[in-house]
Amino acid sequence: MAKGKGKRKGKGNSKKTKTRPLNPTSNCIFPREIISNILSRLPVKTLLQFRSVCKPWRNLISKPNFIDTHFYHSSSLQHIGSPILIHTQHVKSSDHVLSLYNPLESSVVELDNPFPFFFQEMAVVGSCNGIVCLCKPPWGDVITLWNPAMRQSRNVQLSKKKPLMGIYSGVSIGLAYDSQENDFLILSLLGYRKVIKVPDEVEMCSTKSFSWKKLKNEVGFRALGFNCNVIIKGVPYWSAMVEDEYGLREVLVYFDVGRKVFEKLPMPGITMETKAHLVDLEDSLGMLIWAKTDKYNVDVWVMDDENGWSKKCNVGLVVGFDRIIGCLRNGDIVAENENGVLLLFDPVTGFVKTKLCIDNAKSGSSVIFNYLESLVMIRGMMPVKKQTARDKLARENLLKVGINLKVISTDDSRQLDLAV
Amino acid sequence: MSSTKLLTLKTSDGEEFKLDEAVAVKSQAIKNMVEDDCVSNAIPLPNVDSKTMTKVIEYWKKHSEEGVSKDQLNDFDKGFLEVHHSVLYDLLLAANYLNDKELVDVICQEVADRIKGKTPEEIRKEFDIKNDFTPEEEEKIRQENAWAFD
Repeated sequence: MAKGKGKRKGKGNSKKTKTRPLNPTSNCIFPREIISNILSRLPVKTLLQFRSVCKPWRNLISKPNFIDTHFYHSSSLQHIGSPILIHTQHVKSSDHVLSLYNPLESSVVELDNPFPFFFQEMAVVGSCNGIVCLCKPPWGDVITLWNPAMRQSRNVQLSKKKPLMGIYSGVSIGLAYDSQENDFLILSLLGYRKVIKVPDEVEMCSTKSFSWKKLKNEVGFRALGFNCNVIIKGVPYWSAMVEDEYGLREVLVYFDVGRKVFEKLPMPGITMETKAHLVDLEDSLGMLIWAKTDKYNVDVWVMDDENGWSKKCNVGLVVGFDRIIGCLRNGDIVAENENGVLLLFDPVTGFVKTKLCIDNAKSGSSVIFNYLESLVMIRGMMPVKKQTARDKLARENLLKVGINLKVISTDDSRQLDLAV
Repeated sequence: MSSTKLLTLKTSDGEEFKLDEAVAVKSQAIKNMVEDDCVSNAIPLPNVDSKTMTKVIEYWKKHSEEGVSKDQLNDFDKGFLEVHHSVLYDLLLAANYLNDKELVDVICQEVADRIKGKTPEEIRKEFDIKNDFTPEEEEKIRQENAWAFD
């Protein structure tokens, strides 16, 4: 007969396994795994409604494992195409407009812009794992992280290192995702003015701790542009200048999220006569290259880990374009014509699949980004407030004070009266 | 020719189905029994009725056929899933019981597509779920994402 030695803590009945009801989702006709399987295939908006079905469903929808499985389904390649975020500027007010194209519903919807409305400059850094990063060029002194599907956002506190505007030429911002740590990372690359050979100073912010950390730039590169060119599977890529044994040249760099270092990649053959655009091609690094004078042909290049760059195909477009602005993950090429209309081309046949028109978009201002829905939330995110007409008017007045001769045109006669 | 070992499956209503072992092992549950070598007699499937088993076997046979293109399989699946929701749910429970992951995933996708536009109350009726929120709690959840409900 065993005698207990010490004091028994807790209740007397120390069963190791609690008896759980066979069907934790109360009296539901399906077991929990089936419910989880079904729910993980639904759009975010539907799941936000279904949170109110019962407590087990509400709890399930916020579990990290469920969010991961849900994102997995959200990101599975559809032949119909994947969603794109479109950044345009209003033709009259230059307001930054963010819209979402959903190929499953063939719809373009304008989203509430979470970026502080006071600022005239805004750039979209890119999107990965359901999070979109917005920043204010050229100093990256306002950074916003946004989940459009959840309509929540937060601003990121800046690093203590202040760029001295006389000395530095600007900051290039990148977004990455560390799947091992389930951590979104923001990269800030500080570039020196005039001296292009001086490597960028790199800082990284983890959204787990929201603290900035200096990183080494062993590649010694200098990023071109105010944000990374493309983000593929959580890895940001930049076109950059580097000086090495081959001389001063343009290369690609990417951030190895696991090792927290940058790596170099070669660029495929581009010349003064061609233009290039980095893209995400079915989760591989791709590049669209076209001759400046040719309005109908685009070369599609793909980067292979082992063999490097190779030309995948040439696409002859049935209709001429003004600018190539990217492609969907499934390869559909997106171009803008001279009227500012976006055209989606089938990369095999060259035919136009869809036309997208953003109301009042300034021609030549469209920038697109691959985007996938996720339930993921970053600590401190709050609901995005709608920009009211009042806010817009306040900004117009601020601009008016700064730029005396600016003509503000508005269709709203009430606003005109107040503006005088 | 693959080994033509036949298995006998016995459903809840006493009907027996004879099936090639090569096809039947799409069910991980049956596969385990074959590997544990306890299939000398009919395999009892007390959780599946004959009507549902017929449908499952129809799916397994089509997905075991040679020379069927991906498009043809997709077309077959589409037609296969065009059934009343009660039949669909029985199929899902059977596929889960038989542990055929591929069939479970295909049916779950179909169910998801069907319930996408339903309200929470319709969902409760559909799946026989009790509302364990108080009216105040339910209202609070709605307010957290009010925009999603319009």
